[in-house]
Amino acid sequence: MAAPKIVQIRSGATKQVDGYGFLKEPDFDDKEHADYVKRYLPILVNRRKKWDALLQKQQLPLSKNDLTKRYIRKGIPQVYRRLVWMDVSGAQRLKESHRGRYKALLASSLSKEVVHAIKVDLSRTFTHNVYFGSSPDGLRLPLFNVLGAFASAHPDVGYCQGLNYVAGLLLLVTRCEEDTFWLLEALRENILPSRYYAADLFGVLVDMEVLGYLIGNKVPRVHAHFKKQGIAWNLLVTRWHVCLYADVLPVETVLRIWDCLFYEGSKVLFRVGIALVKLGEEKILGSNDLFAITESMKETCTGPAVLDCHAFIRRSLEIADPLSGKTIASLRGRVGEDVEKFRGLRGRRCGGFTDLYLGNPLDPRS
Amino acid sequence: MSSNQGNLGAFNFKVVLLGEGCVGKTSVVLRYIEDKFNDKHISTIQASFLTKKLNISGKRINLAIWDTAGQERFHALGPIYYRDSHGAILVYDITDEDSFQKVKNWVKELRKMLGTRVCVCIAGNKADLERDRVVSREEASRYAESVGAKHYDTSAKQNHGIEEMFLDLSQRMVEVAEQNEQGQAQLRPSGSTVQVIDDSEKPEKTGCCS
Repeated sequence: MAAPKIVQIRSGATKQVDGYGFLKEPDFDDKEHADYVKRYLPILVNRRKKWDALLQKQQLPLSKNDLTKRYIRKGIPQVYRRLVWMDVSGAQRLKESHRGRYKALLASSLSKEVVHAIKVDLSRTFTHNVYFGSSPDGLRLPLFNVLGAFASAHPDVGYCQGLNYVAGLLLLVTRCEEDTFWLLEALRENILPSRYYAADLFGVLVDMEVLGYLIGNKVPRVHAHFKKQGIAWNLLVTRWHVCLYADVLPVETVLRIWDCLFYEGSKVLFRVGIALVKLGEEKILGSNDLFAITESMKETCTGPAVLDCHAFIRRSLEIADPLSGKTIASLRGRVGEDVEKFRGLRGRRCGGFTDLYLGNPLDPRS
Repeated sequence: MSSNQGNLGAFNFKVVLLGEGCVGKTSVVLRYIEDKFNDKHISTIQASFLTKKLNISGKRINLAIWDTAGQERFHALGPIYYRDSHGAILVYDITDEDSFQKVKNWVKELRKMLGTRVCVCIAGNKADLERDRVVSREEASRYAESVGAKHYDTSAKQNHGIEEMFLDLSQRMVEVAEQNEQGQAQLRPSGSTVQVIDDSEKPEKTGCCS
């Protein structure tokens, strides 16, 4: 693999391309977008001032307290994102305690299968982003390096599809492949549950079921509707969990979610999932088959209420409040046991365990 | 597993596409449903669904076509994708021997989980890359025949073989459904009630959970 490389990305949106290099989709709603920018711009300016002042007063690492939490929930200014993410996620500490590791990983060899799997996805990542085109100075090579290094570091994980979107968006924000690698490491080490991207996707499976369970609690009508229609919840939310909402929700919204993800941990992923279902509740209840339901969810995910990231994040944090880390940990434990149990039965059961909370739900009240 | 044949004679079939990553499953579906080919491919991480209405000699058929993720670890989500399928299209890339081996694994899994009720097609895709072919057509056809499947050379890019494959698969699914119907009719006591299923026309829908 080639030496690490820092790619400079021009900032500034144009008529066709947004600030992160994403081409505007054919169905892009200029009016809707202009309204949102008009509302969001003053907020961005204000947050920038606040952060300038904060970082004048205290240096990184930021101390963990309510003030930091509030600042992060209201959005980290783009100019500080890389530094703050590196700090609060623990990526910086990992990087400093493993000096030279990234370079060493780049020099290590990879299996033919992993190289093939990554290469196949390079040209299939953010095809609507100008930096991921085929130009040699774009982000495809850095993306290959990061994913390859991550696979070398964790042969048990190798390459999991979806990581291309996560790493790709990290690259667009950090503009630095080594930091992108360490942020992935921090996600794996500190933030996501164990075996998340494992070869059997164990952690993803567990989290999908946990979200299903929480929906049963927080949006019971939707849970009942799914059950009545006999629709497996997993079919709709795989990408939410695997991509951590990258390429699912509008970019700015994903970055605001990731601000919280790196500071507060993976709990925010559930809060967002609940908020999305809650937002789409009426549409979902009015949809009577899998096709209609997936369309409703898609509309919700790209609709104005989600595009307005500031309001959406506030909403996500309010809707699912309180949601303690302890609750999540204990749910993951219980569901994990069930998933293992059902997996053992799978050879004999055509349905598999994926209907866990549709066919045989844990009682949401217990 | 019933074909859900409504009282107005429409058959509702679920068809699932399976195969290794990057063999062209999504492209095959897009060509069939929208008659499009996009050079900018994206990888499928989560199943998506499209529908198509057909009419074969006066019989109305609604296909629900499930496009799935190719990477093996996503098979951990496994059976929900192909559960209750009436038909399966197993896709490989004619320039990639491994992808053909994967088809064989899928045949085993489907036969084990769904028995012989499921109608299987095997599609050797990217037939436009004939120069780079490594999987012999004869061998693939022989294999398909030996497992009760039908083999097609397809090219989503050049729109070759796809319409024909879906048509043939649909006909076979109708035959199986009608045989089942007859079997059930013999078992059914006379004067049993007829289930009425609302079969009102709906506009063609496409959906994907992105």
